[in-house]
Amino acid sequence: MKQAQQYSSKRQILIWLALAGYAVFALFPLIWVVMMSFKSHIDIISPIPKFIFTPSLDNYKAILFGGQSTQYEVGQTDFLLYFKNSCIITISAVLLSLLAGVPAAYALARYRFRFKDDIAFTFLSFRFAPEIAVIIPIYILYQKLHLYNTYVGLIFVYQLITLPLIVWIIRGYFEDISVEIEQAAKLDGYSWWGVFTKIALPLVKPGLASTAVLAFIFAWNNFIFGLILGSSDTYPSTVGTLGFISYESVLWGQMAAATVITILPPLILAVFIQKYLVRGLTMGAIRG
Amino acid sequence: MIHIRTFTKIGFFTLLYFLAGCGKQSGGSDFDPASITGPFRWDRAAGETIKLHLNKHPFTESLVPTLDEFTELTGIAVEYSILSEEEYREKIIIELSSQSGSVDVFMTGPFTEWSYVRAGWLEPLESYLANPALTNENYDPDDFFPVCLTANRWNGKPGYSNYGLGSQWAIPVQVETYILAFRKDWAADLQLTPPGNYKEYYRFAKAMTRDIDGRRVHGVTARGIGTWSTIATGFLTGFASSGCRDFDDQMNCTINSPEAVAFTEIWIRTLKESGPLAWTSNSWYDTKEQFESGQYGMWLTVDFFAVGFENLEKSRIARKVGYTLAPAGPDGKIRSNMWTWALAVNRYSRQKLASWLFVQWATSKEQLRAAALAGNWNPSRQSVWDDPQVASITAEWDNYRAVVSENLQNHASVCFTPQPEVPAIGDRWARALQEIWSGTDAQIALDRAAADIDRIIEKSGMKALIQ
Repeated sequence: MKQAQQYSSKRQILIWLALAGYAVFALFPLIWVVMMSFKSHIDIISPIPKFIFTPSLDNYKAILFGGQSTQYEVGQTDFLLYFKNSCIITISAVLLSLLAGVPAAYALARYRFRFKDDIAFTFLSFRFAPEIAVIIPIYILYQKLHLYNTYVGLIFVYQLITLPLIVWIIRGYFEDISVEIEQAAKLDGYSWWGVFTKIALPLVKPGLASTAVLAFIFAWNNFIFGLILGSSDTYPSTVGTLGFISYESVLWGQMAAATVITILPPLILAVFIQKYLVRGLTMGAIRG
Repeated sequence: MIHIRTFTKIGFFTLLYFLAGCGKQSGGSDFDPASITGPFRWDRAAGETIKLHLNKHPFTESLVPTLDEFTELTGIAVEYSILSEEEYREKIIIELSSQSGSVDVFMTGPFTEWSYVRAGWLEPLESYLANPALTNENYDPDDFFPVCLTANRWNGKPGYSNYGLGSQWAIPVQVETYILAFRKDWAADLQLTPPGNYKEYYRFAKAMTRDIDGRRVHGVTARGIGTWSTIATGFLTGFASSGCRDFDDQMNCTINSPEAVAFTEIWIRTLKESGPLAWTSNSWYDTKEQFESGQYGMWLTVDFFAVGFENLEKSRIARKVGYTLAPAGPDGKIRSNMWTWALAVNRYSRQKLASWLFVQWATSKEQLRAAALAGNWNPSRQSVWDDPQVASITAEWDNYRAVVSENLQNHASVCFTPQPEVPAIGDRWARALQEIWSGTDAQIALDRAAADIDRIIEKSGMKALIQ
């Protein structure tokens, strides 16, 4: 018995060590970026990587308030604008996708109509083609429609990222809800709208939250749409961060500081709705 | 259901309408510069708005804060977009190929212009320069270094005999040539003199590779990633100095000629024995940081990188670097490759007059002097280069000034053969260098690359244009 306990605790320790090792492996790039954001340029380019250094907030000051300008290496001061653009475009794109995508997903899950599967597949197919394959026609259309370099244009084109994701994932969640529950609600006098809002939506709430976060992360990380269809007024932070690559050197410290700030919103969002996220991501994992 | 069908049809035809519209060229304006007469006036296009697309570059950094002065002088409003180089190059191609006139003025340079000229995206500028109603009498185009203007001319025909002929497609705002930067303190310790040819270059690198305070330092560094930029700088300078060309007169690839193979072998052997351990992943930025961190002995590279090397705050090698001309070829000649960033006007711009006024203002003596003082190196105008305040910036950089002057006067020209496929060809060529570095026989690797490059040229239809 004692031997078995010892074996079990040793096994536990090994598992913990393995998990800790994996956590360090997985988190190391992030930790390194955070460390870089507090280093001076000389420490960053040191031939022997420095783990111990005098931390400084200079990189954060430079990207938030500007002011670092030494010969070629000019600090960028537009980072806050790009960050704001990312927030406006991504939040609006996800909200719009939820507004349009959730009823669509419900319809695709519950109703029978012609071309139902074709329509669903068409939504999914938006994710098949690489964005670069369609960007030139979209660019020309946007120039003609005066949507180029506008928030509306970018929110609209981001639907190519967020809408298929939301429709397809939420459709799966709706399909997992027992039809009998909805039928019972109808027997109790609910209209289809009542069933949708009072029964179906609350049941898929965790799934809705996790899908919205996923859509937010995909949209937040998008680069090519912002680059080609935006301009200095509307570039998101993914494009803006590249501004720290100057002609003959990379401002690694400032780029790291910008990266740290840029990853905060998805991180905070994920932490706040962690409860829903775990439930949402495991919904439908066990079918009875 | 009927409603859905009707809706679908309306949507479908609306889309067709827009797509049909997109097929048409939207507007290269029919502006004829010769139609403007009378005295020169800065306010000829007052009230218009032009859009600039700019690369993240010291020129841009110095230009942007002064744009209000241009608006005040001309009444022309300016909107601009700035991107780092790689993204800049991607986006400008999309903008120009859309032929929508969404950009009026943009930054470019010799190799990229060759693609744009063949595609018909650039407005020729010689008739603007020649018209006194459009060009201020103080503009003085003869003040530009002749090599800078020549590099931005082309007649659209492939072959080196066509270099510098034809229309002026862009006006240079800076120029870079290729020189040898070396650790003069190490050379003094080892009692070495800078290499005068590529055999000496090999020996110099070998001698500098050693342990200092228990740490290995290397004799040489260079760019090594598998893109055309690896070819364009030091390598092409050595290649051309060794009497080699990328194409013969019939546009057959000659990067596998006996002299080309001999030079390539010594270039790669030097890097392999005395260079960075991960040379094939060495980008422009990595190489600069390696050299500035004090681990490398020499680098045949862009002259103006001296700005970074000599930065007392950020570089470990400030005031320790010597500058000399690139090693000579077997015939004793030096042929430095070069590049200029330059301003061009989109052929489909609807504000060509305003665009030209902007180009003229931004490349004037006063503007380029201010740009040089703000860090835009090297100046493309002789008067700016000779300006005492500008000259004083490089006073403590060894003999940088004399070396660059000598290069600009006697050795610099674009060493690629004019043709629109430079990036594709350069990428393939760079991969051949990587293969050689990894152990493939130089002749075999270059034969294979030359065959692929011949196919690229064949496909591009360039051979039909040979005269």
